[in-house]
Amino acid sequence: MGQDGGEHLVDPEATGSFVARVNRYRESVGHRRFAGEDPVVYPESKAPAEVAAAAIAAERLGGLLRLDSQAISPAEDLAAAELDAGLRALANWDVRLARWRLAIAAGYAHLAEQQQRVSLARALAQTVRDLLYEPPGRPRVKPEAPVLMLLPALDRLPREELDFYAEEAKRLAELWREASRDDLLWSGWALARTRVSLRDGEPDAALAWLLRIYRRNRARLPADDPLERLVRPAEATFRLLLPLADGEDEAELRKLAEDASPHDLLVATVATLSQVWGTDLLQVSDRFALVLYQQPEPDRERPT
Amino acid sequence: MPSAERAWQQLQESTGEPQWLDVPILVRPVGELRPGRIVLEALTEDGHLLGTCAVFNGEWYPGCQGSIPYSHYAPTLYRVLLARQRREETEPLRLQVLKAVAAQTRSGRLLPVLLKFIIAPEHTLTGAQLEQVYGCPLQVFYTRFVGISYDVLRSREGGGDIRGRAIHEGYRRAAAEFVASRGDLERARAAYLEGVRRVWVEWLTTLCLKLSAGPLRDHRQPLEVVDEILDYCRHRWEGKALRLYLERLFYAPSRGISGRADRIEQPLDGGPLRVVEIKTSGMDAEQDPQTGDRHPGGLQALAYREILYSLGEQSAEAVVEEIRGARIKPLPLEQHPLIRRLRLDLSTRDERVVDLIAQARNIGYCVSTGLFTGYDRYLLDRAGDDWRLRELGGSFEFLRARPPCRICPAQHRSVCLYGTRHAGQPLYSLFRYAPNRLFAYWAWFHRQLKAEERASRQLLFHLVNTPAEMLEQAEGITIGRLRLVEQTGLIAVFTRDERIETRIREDDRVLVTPETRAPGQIFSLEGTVKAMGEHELVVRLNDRVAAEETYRVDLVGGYDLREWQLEGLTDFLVSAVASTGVRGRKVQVEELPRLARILLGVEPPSLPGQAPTPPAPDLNETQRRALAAALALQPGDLLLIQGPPGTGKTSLLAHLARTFLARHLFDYDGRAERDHRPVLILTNTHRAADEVVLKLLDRFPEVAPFVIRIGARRADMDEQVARQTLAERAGAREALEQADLTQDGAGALFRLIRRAQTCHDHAGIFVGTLGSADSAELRGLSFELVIVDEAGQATEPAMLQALRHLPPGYTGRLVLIGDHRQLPPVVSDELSPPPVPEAFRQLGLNAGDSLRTSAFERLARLYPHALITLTEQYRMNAPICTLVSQTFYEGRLVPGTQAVAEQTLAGWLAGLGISAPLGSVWSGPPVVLVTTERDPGARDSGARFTAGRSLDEARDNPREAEVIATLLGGLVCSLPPELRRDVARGIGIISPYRRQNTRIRQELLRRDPVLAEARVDTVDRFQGSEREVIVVSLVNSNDEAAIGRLHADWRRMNVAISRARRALVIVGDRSTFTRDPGRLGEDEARRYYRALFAEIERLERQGQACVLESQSLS
Repeated sequence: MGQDGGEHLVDPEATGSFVARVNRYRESVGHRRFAGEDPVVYPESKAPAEVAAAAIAAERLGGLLRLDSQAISPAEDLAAAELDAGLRALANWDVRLARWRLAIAAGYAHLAEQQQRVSLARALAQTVRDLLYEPPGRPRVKPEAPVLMLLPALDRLPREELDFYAEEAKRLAELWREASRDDLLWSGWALARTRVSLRDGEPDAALAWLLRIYRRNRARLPADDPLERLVRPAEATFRLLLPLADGEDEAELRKLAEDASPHDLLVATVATLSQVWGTDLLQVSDRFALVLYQQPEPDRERPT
Repeated sequence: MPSAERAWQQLQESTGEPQWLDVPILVRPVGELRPGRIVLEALTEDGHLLGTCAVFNGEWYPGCQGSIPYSHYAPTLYRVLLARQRREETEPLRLQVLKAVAAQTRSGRLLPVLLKFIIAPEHTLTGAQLEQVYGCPLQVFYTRFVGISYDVLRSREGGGDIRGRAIHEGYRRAAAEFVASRGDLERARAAYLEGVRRVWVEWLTTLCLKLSAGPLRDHRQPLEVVDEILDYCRHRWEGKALRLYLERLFYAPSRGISGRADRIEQPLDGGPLRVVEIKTSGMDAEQDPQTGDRHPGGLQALAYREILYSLGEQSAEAVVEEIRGARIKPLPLEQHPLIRRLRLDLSTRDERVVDLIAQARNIGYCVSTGLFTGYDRYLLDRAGDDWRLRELGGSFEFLRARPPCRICPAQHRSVCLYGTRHAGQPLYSLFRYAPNRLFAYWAWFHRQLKAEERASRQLLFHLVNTPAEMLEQAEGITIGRLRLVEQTGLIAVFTRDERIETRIREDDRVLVTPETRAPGQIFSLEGTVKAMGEHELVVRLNDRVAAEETYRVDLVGGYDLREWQLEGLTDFLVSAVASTGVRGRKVQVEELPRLARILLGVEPPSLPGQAPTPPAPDLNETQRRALAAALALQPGDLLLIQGPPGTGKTSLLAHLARTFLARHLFDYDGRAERDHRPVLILTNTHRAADEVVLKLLDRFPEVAPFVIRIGARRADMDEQVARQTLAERAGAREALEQADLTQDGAGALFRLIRRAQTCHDHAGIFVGTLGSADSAELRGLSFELVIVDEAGQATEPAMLQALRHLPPGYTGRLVLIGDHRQLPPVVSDELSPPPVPEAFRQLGLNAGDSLRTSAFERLARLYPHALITLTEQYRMNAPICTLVSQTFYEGRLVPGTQAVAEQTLAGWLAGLGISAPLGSVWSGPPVVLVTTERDPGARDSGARFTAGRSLDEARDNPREAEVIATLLGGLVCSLPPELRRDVARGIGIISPYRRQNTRIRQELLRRDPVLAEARVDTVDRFQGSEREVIVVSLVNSNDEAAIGRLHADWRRMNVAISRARRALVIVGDRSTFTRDPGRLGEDEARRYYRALFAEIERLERQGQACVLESQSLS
């Protein structure tokens, strides 16, 4: 119910004219930007519709709005929201989404602190990318480097936050290196890859990672390997991709492969290996996730 | 090739069936421009309307069953059209339509849909650039558009490219010699070794880079492969009749691509042409997915083959010859990984070949011209998000598997975030986070440099598509109907019966083409004009010309200076932001290094201080003051020294360099880094750099071991200067000539490199041109003091090269020496400067300023307090000095000594042993005005070749030429014959028009052949020189009082008259210059000309000048 008690029906004519007004601002800014200016949107008059159109144009372009002789960044809240979304995506290993969100945030952010926070998040995205997609311990890869190199140049962020991310980058990089030498950590890292594959809708990739985890840990499994029943269909999935060996029956393999379930295998693998290692493998995997800095003092929330 | 009308008709006749057209049309967007569905109005080249057509995403059309997912055509065209709209370019866009269809819409209407096309084929990209797009489009954006280059303060490994150069040059010479000598292997071997030797000497400095001196492999390979190359030549060509075309420029106007293939073989028995691309490096090679082998150069060779195809050579073969170790491996294009991956069929006309080339060409065009992003800071930053530039479409799965970040400067500078890995602190959002003033400064100059580049990239198309008669008569850039009369080595002499009237002059770069062909085909030769006569043209070619009936010669422009200027400009942007130490946020202009703030008008340089100076009895008071101010300069500060004509700025510069060197040597506490050196002197021209070296050696011979003249020995270099080049200091030529290259070539080279490195390690004064800032001698070095000489003639981006060698954060001293009242920088005549924003007043730029406004002029306006002017001159006698001083320097310029003030023509002649009485003009006052106002025959010819936008309006004035010849004939003829030559050498004749100079030369020769010794030149080429006698021909004389664009810059007149030491004669129509026809932009010039003639009249009243009527001299 609207204020007048009735439905708010959109007025097509007024909407069209308002959108055209917004587009006029956008077009004009686009022209000036193309020529190298970093223009500020000035409302053509103080009429509410004009100010509203200018504000919307400024927001959509990630530009500044000039109101009462002050420059306003109307999209700063959007920048903060995109930054948070980007960081959240990073925390669950979604690098592509994070980069997308952070690029939008970078376009919107005008406050120096916000800009540096976005830049830091972009460096963290590089760290998480390396951590996740480079084989653990690979020579010449330093996942922590983008963050550590950037931190000393971030002069507008609190020391506490910078220190936190420096430690976090070092922790993740050290964990990643350690994973090349430690089977449990390696399994946790591979489990993270499995979870990412499952999330991204790539069941075969998830199966492949689960098989790798299985092979790496097979020697540790008890004689009555509880995973074997679930692993065989997974193996059959990949066997079918190669020429069959003597004695292998394609129909049988095909039937077996139909039962392959990455989700079931994941659950069983986590349960079995957690028991074997005496520690929750899921938690080991979680250690490879980026921990986000939280402002511990509620009264010192960062401005948005 | 069908015409556009016929092709359009053909299209309509086969509704629904895509047709291969290959015709050029012009298009203009209709209605609102939308991505995905572009509606266009199509026109023929002559403006005839063809109708409406459309372009859809994915090469879709109504009735089409599917679409092509990664087709780049529509998104790229959309970007180009949008950018043109934003640039407010209204002329139609040219498309070479390759494939189109007449589709039937639901309403039954026939709609032509363009499916495949080449955008703006008039813009030429090279085959090597196409290969770069294929490797990484983002790299093309950063290096070809933005202009990012390596950080010259970081030493780089190198030498590998010299290995390739040596092999290329040796192979080229060996092949030519083998074919010319009909299979003489020993001559071919000698030619090969000479080629290698020359490259090693020329590029010795690059070989001295740190890492290249380590492994000998790089140096051995050119010598190890010689037997294989000779064997290969013998195997392929022995007993065969063929002609080789080596590094010939060839060009396909319908594809917008050109190239210089290493070799084209033409069998004389009529077989197919064979184009060969030689590759010696696999740095950015492509891997064959099946064999794992890496092979470079596929797209380049494919592009060359396509050019030959479009020139009618449809059976041409292409081969990539890879040289690895001591082996040559010829790889036919059909077996190249690129072709195998795409499964292209080269035996038929596979349209996917053109498709692939069009993709690389269109994306390369859109990206490298800046149409992709313009100067939109948001788009500039977003471009770096993905190396495949997905917004432009493109079959990115056919790009290289990974971008060649290892060799990309944008990656090294941490600007490219895609590839950045541990290269340094990443420069997030470089363009948005740069201070507004810095970005606006960068964009304003950048736009002008790119506009120049754009014009030059369209020249070949213009030459091919414009009738030769029009080019010759309206633009003066072509000379036709020439016959080859003589060919000695690479020097060819052409003549024709008709008089040659042209804008082409000595030192111009030209293309020589048989008239049966178009310029830019493989039969065109590149060359440089050595001499011009009334009916004759002498050209130095890069290959021997084959005997043909007649030839045409086309002007192809000067040397390309834009690339390094662009790099200097962008380096300033990147380095200034990077050196703030702040990342990840918008940088405030106040946070930039001090020198950057000074250049951007944020804060002024310090007032010139006065440090104690060493004894310098040969310097005058103002020179000593300037020296003291330069010595007092603090790191991060700037000093401007104005040196009017003859004021001894080179002497000052020599003192300054020597004092800084001494200070560096004596104050050295062992802590300074080896890569930190005292003085770098950069000049605008090689001539000025040579003069600086000569002056240094002349005044202070003891500094010779510390001086390095950057670059290789040039033919026109003074021997003393040449000895200061690193190669000569190390004795490269002798060492390599004495060494038996086949036995111990690599060892000799290695010892030579060690010697050169020792010389380099001890050098403290480096002298070169601004363009050599990226040279091997300077790589990795920073300097306490950087001096830019002739700064008034350097464009601002060129001057910025000097900053690249200041220590990080620009914590060194910068001294600019020049004179903004003499000639401004030389920039392309095609330049149409963008408007100067109001805010640029803070930078010292005013309306009408452009790339022609030097940094020196701008900063002198902005910071007059930081400018020290040298006022005592040692060239002109008192009356000439007074004329120059009163007209152009507010009377501040005075003769440095009494002897200079009193020098006379008679005194000079007496010194030569001549006491004969001179003619009346020469025995009178030293300043003479021969006025032609009342001489009805002395009218100029009017502007010619006005179709182009050249400043040189090609005017001449035959009567003035005659008067000058009469005057000088009178002077020389009265002298004893054995002394005439010496006197003639002391004479200079200056006019701004090259056409008039040719006429004067011819008149002088007619009068007396000895007058050929007198120098006749334009003002622009005369700057920096002097003569005892100067005659100035004004040329312009007309009822409209048109002084022309050259005279509109009054600084030319200052330079012209201030070249004279003892006598100055000005010949011309005073009234044309002093009347006021109310023409815009000439007010200032006319004020100066009025002042000039008024001063001559004043001097006449004092008996120091005389004014004569030209008719009285006949």
